[in-house]
Amino acid sequence: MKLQKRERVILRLDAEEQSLDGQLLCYLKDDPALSLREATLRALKAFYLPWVLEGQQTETEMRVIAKNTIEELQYRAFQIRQRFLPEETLVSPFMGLPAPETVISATPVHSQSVGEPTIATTIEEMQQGVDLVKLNQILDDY
Amino acid sequence: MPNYQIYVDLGMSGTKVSLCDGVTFQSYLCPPRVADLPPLELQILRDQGTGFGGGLESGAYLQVGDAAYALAEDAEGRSNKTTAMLRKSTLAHLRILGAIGEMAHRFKVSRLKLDIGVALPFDEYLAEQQEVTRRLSETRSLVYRGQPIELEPGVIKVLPEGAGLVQWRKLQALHRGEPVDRTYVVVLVGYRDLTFLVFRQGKPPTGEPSGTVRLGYLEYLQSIAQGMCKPDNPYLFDALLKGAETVAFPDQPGKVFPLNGQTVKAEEFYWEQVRHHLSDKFAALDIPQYEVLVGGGTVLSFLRPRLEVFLSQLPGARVNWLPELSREVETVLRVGAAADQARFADCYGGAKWLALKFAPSREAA
Repeated sequence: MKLQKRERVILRLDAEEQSLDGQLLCYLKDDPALSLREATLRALKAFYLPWVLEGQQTETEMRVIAKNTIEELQYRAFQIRQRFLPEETLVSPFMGLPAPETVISATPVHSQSVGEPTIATTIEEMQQGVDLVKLNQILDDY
Repeated sequence: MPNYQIYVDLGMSGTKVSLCDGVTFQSYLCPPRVADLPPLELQILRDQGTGFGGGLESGAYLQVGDAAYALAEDAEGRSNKTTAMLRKSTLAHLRILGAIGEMAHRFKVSRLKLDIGVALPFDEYLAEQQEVTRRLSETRSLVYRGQPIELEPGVIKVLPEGAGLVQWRKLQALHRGEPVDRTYVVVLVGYRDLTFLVFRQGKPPTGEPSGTVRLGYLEYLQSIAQGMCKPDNPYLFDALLKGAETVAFPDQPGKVFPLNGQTVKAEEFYWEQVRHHLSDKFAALDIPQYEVLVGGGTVLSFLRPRLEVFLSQLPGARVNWLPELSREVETVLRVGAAADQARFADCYGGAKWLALKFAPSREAA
């Protein structure tokens, strides 16, 4: 069988070091916690992936991709808020987002309906209204 | 730096992880595999990274000291000659470090101050909990996806599987003003094992009649998989768990195997073995009143109707299928599929316990 040649796509970016673009590229290259390739692709995917895949995927798959992209953007927005606008944090990055779409499920997926108690999603909400002394007593087994 | 928390459920079908940044929770699920990464291969991956993209950053590669491992999906199809011979606590340690690496990767941090909770299968909990704790407390650094990560471990707690369900149920009882010192019997139908655990007055199980036998889903898969694939094939497992009518395998392109006809006889045979074992266990109980907590992803498929009938006939037992816990897993961890909610239930219960017990409270802050 003849091996098919795999084409590669190369993207090269350069910028004046002192410019804003240059500083951005330096930051991505120099920060030890970041991988240049992955950080770049992650940011690009968050902005453009749904458009890239439009027409190639089914409607259901596109909905999942769109939701995942929104989650990624909202999570980044949460991190920016947490770091630069701390007074606005303590808000879940996923608040207001519906649960991820189920692909195939053997049994019905639960969802919170009217009349059920609200489920606490943050540690702070979970701690509210709890007797901490009693809580420590019952959770002290390990 | 936020006080991160991680709770890792080292199940046989997968590593279920809850990640907490001090505010909210996220989930992470990956295959349980660990494979060797020989020095030559490590060097090739490194070179790929500098040469033409990919490389160490592109996969779940873990480096601890001089050794390197491929984890999760990236361990599939690799030799695991050395890791197969490793002690269970060593494998557990590597899987936990992989989950911690994934956390650092996801939160984009290179230094983690974190509390660690671990759920071990019951036999490993009895034999290996101290060793796992010691190893974790001594680990100060690792490299994951090519990125060095510094660790500052805080609280380290090792629990038996099923304890997360009990701690969650006790919290729920406290909220509702119900007694919190009930005795719980946890029945977990897992991937490899069927586990029966007795938490007397909610305290950790110590020995008989608590125990584990190899009567998990794998036993059922043995008969289904004949002529199709290996019983532990993850694609078959996933298809059955989701109730799919057919299954296909990447290494058998173009072939689609029907599942419906295969399953009926295998189900009957498997259930008979489970029923026999559970009858013995419940008969050995010397407790007049108790609550049965049922867990494990398998029970949501074909076992539930049969188990419901069986458990409803037990004198003194109140059966709890933990529907509210599934709703919490869906809402807090954002796990959508019902089968996955059941798989994550124990992990989430443990994570909530860890958060409420050890995360700094607002009053204390």
